[in-house]
Amino acid sequence: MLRLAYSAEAASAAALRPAGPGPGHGGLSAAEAGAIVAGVLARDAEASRTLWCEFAPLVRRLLRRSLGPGHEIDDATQDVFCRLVRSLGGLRDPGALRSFVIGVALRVAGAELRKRHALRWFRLTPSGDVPELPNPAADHEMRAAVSRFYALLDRVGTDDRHCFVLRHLEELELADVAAALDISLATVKRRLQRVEARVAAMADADPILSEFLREHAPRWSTSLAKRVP
Amino acid sequence: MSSSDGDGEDAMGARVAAVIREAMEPDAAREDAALARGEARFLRSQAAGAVEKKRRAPWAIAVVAAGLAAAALVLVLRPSSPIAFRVAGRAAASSGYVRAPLGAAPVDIVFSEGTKIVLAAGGALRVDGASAHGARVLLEDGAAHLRVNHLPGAAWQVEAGPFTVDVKGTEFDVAWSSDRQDFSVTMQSGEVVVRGPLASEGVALRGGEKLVARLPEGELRVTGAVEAAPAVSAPPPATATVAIIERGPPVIVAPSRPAPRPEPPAGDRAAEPPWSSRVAHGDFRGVLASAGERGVDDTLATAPLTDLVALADAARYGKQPDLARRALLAQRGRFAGTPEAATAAFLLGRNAEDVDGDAAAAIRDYDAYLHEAPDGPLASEALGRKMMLLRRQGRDEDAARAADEYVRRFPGGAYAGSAAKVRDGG
Repeated sequence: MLRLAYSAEAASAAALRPAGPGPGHGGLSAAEAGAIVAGVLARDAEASRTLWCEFAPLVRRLLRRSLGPGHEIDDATQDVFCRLVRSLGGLRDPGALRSFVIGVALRVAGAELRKRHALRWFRLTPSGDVPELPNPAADHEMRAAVSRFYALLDRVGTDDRHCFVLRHLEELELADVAAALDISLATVKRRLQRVEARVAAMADADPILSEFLREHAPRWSTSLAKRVP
Repeated sequence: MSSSDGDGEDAMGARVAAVIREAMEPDAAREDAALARGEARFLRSQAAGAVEKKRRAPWAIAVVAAGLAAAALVLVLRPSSPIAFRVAGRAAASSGYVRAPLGAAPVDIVFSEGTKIVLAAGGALRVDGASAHGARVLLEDGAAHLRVNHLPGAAWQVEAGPFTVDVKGTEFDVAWSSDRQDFSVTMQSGEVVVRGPLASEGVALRGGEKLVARLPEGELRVTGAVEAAPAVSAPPPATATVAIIERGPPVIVAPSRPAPRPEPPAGDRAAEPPWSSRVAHGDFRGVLASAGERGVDDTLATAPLTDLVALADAARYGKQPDLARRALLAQRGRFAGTPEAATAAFLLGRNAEDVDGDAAAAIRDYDAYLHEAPDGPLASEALGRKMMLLRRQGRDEDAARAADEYVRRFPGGAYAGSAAKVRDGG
């Protein structure tokens, strides 16, 4: 059975690496991926462990960036892996395992977002807002800016949000975004164009966020100024 | 749009993505621990998977049925959404502010659970903090008639100037004049409890009674069935219909606002959303203007906590640090012990540090926050900032103590690196 060395430290380091091929980040060869898939389907514990070690950092990071602050991701990560195990049988090309994992993670993220909206709709909390969990951003202003940024992302559709997150926060290539979302390259471009314009306009209209970005990301602000009349 | 053309660097800005990525970056040690816990959990579930699958089948229907029943129960018994209200003759009011112009007809405010308020001409009120069981009504000026539906758990409160009227279910008139500092409650039925500057212990009123308070004279009278008034020490004369239940020195609780009240700049103020919502949408100037319109002193003295928080935020973001400080101090003075008051201490510290350059004051404020909210969401930052200020002041021993505490409590915090250096004398 294929055995990939794993340590939490290595997995954490892998999570910090940019997207792309490489050990610990789903940068497996097709043969390695195929061995993992076959092992997991055969209920081999070592294969399950390898699947986790290889993809859990990626999944957690993706969930964190997709959902934004205020979401508990431990349960969502488990959900991703359970779904993954159940659906691996449908993976035709083991070489596409990484995209497959990302796709499953995004479906879970979408379900979480819908759940959040449903909670708000049912008003299970007095204000209709879901209680906020700790925001990892340490600085008060940054925390406020990040919360507002994600509040803004809450106002775009889930599909567009996934596109935005994969392209700009995960820094995936357009082709990888298309593969992860199982849509065409043209659709990715169209969605990105739409969501970028919307996010830019909304961010520009938000005084706190636009000021924060002017201070911390002047290049982006400049591009906003050009794009938003 | 260059990003979608493959040139993402300029258009969407690698920097902004980097800022968001940095902000969302978890603490490495905690992330490692979470990964290890998650791995164990995943492997356990995998090992139990086959067995569970077989055993689960007979229970599946029961579980689904129980889930459906629970969902139905939630729908029936869930804390129902806050009661809604509408202002008669208008579309559903999204804002809590209602004003009845002078010379116009009284305004009816009808609540979804049956309560009705009639606001007399010249009056203004705000419906705030609506819950499933009632609402808080802030009578800013004028007179109103309330018929509160007596439902189980009903919880209504009327605030008028410095007075509060706690209501279960009743019918009464309430009036407040901010200019004359006069307050009155006239009961038709039911029971209420009035609290305020001359009735700190609370005065219970029942049907037929009337309470009148004149703050400049320091006088509070209850007329009608005086035996109901708890503060009356001696039995009243048989024919008496008036009792002075408390007399004290004149009390002025808030400066009078200029009269006549300024007209709203445009449109119907009842359509204004709450200040917190306006701040959330970046309308800082609008909130500051509204506060000016109501009178800043009056607002600071009488506005509910949510409005004070919103005003402080609007002032901070609107570059009015003095007003921000006053709003934060008002939160701490009027709502001591609340999480908002603790947060206000932290923000006062930021104000002292960033605007005034007053390190000593900032340290005091951060200490206040740490004392009031030792495990609060800003504790790490408050302690880190305090440590840095102590060090900047040359108080090396105090800084080292703070650093030691920081490293112990927040080993993965943003100031952990600095704390380690400070602790080690670096």
